[in-house]
Amino acid sequence: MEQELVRRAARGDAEAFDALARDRIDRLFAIAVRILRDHHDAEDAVQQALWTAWTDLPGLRDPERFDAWLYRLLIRGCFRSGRSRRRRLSVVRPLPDADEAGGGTDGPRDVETRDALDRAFALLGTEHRSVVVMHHYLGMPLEEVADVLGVPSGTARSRLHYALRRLRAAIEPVDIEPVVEASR
Amino acid sequence: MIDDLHTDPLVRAWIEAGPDRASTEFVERTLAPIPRMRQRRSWRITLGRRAGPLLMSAAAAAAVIAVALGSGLLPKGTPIGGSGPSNSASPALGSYKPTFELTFGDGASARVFHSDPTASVASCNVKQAGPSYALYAGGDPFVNIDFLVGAGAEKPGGASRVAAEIQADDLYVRFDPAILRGGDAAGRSQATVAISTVGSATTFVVDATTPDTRTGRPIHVALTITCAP
Repeated sequence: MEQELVRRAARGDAEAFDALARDRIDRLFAIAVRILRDHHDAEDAVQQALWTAWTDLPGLRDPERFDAWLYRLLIRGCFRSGRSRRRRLSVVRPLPDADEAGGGTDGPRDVETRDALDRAFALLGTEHRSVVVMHHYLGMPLEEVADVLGVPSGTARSRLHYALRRLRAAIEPVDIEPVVEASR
Repeated sequence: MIDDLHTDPLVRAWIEAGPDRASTEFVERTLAPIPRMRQRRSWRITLGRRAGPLLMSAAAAAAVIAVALGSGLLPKGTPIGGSGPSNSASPALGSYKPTFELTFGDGASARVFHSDPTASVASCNVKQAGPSYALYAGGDPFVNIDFLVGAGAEKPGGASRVAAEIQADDLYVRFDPAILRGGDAAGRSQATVAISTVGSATTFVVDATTPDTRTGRPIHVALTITCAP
């Protein structure tokens, strides 16, 4: 059924694409807003990913790969938004509480902890944030994360390791050894 | 290993917190333009019907590169090759952003469109000795431009090596007089491109006459695209 929708959308059926997109847009937004920590940047990244998906869908060879391909488009949109944001200024923007945003799950109640994680996450690059969000938020196995990002699985593992060390260091008052990230 | 899901409950809870739904307004704003946005399929389909396997393969590869670069999907320096999620090695190309002025028709009835700096898709790739591409989608009224200048366009006799597919509001035209993408019947369109470079900016001035798809009658299209970092 899903693959048939992808095939129809690839043949130019806008209704089929609309159905696919509506089914995924919340999840795409949730991923993007967690990576970018900014609603507007997240919306830009999602919009860009979906529009590119529509225009380029006829070039997707394997309909079964639609979701992985869409995630890849989204992550690339996040990279672009991340670069734009760095050009503007570096800011720390805590996400609104779930109640404010109209959905979501409860997070750490400790404001200090949350602020510390916000600050540490803001210092990570998009490549590290993406791995953390895909692995811990989506529950995606690292091999799958690596596939979406187009990097070796060792690189994905290294990025996750690096990012989590930094996040843990922000909330644990202990010295940690410097981590040298493996190059791609 | 730190990446064990059970070792960082605090971090995981922090990541899980936050909004998990897009606003209805955003969903509609994003999906509403889709039916008006053309897919990048027409040239490839036409090409498949008209060209031999070798030409089709080369041109399809060029189209895929154009799409990927034009969409800004590939970061600067990313190896290019294949479509979709696959990766393979080939030369890296740099990316630039296009601005344009587009005019349909002449005189008092002419319709003029300009690039919108907030457009979501706006990128081009310029190669001095090879094909150059530009891709743009955005603005209000909505404009979608898929633009290709063939290698050798700057040489004597090469001015017709330009192809474009343009949707602007209710207008849609496509021209490809040099059959760069296999999309034009012989004599259907006339188009020329003049190329000039100032510093790192390259400007393409296109003058074309091609059938207006609404009426079938020829319409004059003037397009000036400047690609700059």
